[in-house]
Amino acid sequence: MTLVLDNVLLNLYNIFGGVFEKALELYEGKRITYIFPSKTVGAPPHSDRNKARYLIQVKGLSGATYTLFPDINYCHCASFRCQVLNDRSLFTCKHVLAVWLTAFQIKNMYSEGNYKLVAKLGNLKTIVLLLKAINFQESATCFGTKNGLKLTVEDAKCMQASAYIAVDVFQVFDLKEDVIFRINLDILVECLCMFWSNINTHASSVTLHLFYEGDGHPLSILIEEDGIITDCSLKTQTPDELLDFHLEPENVVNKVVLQTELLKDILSELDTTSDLIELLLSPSPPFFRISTAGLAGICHIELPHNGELVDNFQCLSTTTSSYKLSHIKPAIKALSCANKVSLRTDTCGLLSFQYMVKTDEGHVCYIEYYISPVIDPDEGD
Amino acid sequence: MKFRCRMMDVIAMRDFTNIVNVISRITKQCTLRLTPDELCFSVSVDRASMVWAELTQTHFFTEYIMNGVSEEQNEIYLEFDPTMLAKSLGSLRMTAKSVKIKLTNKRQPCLTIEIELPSLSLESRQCLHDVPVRVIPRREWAEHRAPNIPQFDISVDMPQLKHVKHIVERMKNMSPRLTLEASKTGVFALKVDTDSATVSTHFQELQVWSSSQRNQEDKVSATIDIKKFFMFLAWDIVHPDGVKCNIVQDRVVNLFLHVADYVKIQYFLPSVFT
Repeated sequence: MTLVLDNVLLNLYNIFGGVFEKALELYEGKRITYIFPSKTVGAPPHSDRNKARYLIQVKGLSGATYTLFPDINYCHCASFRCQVLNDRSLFTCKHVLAVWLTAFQIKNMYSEGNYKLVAKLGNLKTIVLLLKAINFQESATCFGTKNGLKLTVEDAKCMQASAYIAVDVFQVFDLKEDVIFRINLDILVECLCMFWSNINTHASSVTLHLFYEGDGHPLSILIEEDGIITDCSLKTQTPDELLDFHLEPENVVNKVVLQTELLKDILSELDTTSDLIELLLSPSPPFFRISTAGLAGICHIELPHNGELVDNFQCLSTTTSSYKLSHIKPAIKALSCANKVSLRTDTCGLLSFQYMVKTDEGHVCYIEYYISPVIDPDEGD
Repeated sequence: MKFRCRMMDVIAMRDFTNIVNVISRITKQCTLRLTPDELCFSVSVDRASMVWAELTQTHFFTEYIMNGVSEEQNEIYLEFDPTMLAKSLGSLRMTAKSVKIKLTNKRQPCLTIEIELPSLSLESRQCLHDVPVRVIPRREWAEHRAPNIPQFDISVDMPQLKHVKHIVERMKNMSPRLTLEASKTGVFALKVDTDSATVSTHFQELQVWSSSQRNQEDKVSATIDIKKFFMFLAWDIVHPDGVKCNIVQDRVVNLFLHVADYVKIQYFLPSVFT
């Protein structure tokens, strides 16, 4: 077992002297035993310092056993009492040092050395809802940053959807450096859904581990439930450049924040034979209007601009722009899981939906859609 | 040649309907073999047996009379469309008091199903269905005999079908082929491999009944058509007491399912080459 490099060993020897030599002897002689309460056997002892509940026993070279607390520099051996406490000639005794060496090795084993991203989830419900809402194309680009995970899906360079999974949704989110890769979202969603039906029925015991080693490596996802383990290895690709859709605050013309109930019924009953959908926002009547023109005729739907369900209605000027209904459709999907939605348009007519999704645990996640308008060639400006 | 039987028990009627229903979803043509002791439904694809379901007559029927072609060959082989039989038995599930099934010769040979339904008045209602059948002549019997069971490389208990069903349902959307893998250590795995991902689900601590493997680590696997495997999982509806998965490396997967000792189902899935 190679613990560390030779020069590190040498440095450690220079610091601790003969004590280190003896500690190494204890470590290599496997005289160190971890004592866990029965439930957490096998759990990484250093995954969370605050949750660590265990003791360590060291069988000394003389045969006596010493029981130590983790991470506390104290031992009840004679050498610690004399040399550390009384003489102050040493920093610590060989037993404590041996325990530190073991802890170091275990920590290495569990932090899986090379992974750039390690994440753990205890509840799949949120992530499944979010991913399903953006799963209108096969592949998604995944960004891992210190804020969490963002998955972006693009369709024909004229619409883009992103799901933001905040870092606090994860139980563990260990990121060495920012990562970006492209994966097959269809398969990811299918894998997560294998356990989906059980999640809704009872308190779920599903855990998900996610590992990513870096460019060219697959994204490994391990899902475990009642001893059934699903190992999903998704091949990653280098992502194509994504369009940078964003609304500059100074270009935002209109902004409406509403409760999703209001839009849910309207958007689900839109005339599907219509190719386009027209959105009119105006500071004067009719304020807020959605129109479709299908086989059955032209349909105008006027929405209230004030009232309980509308949180905010800011309109600077009258704007009308058309969007493809097929582009709006994926954005309708997210309505069912979200609580609030913000609609914004800018001077060019770019439409953005921002959904706020509250999870069962009270975390907040976001889904964002950008839809570019259909330019009418007859208009000529 | 004579066949008539009568079912009274609600649970037996429900089980019988379920069995016919599952078979009707698998195929459009099946064979029913009647012997004095049992009924066997069999489904063959390209002359290779796919399903062989044996039902013990005494469990299902309160009355069972059959006379075969002759004293020595006391058997009847019928061929019919199971969807028609399943539809005819549809009204059996909830309310029927009893059902009689008999072989009749109207314009052509038929299985006549007489279902006695309860009604508000004292008189009970009767519902009659005729399912046309073809009586298989003796010279063709050889084709419909019980399948040979090969020597397996490994025989292992399957995990609960409902768990497997959830998983295979999803894997079905990813790939048309599924690899089943089992090892002597009691690990059973389902795997799909596609261009963009490899997904495998592992079940542990399953009972291993027999194994030709020497090493603990050696694995036996076979790749099969995932849709056919998924159809097998529909048998969950009969609440099996045990399901065994037997694999011959890269040749065939045999699934054996039993409910107490009165329903025994053999299912054969040939391996497909990748």
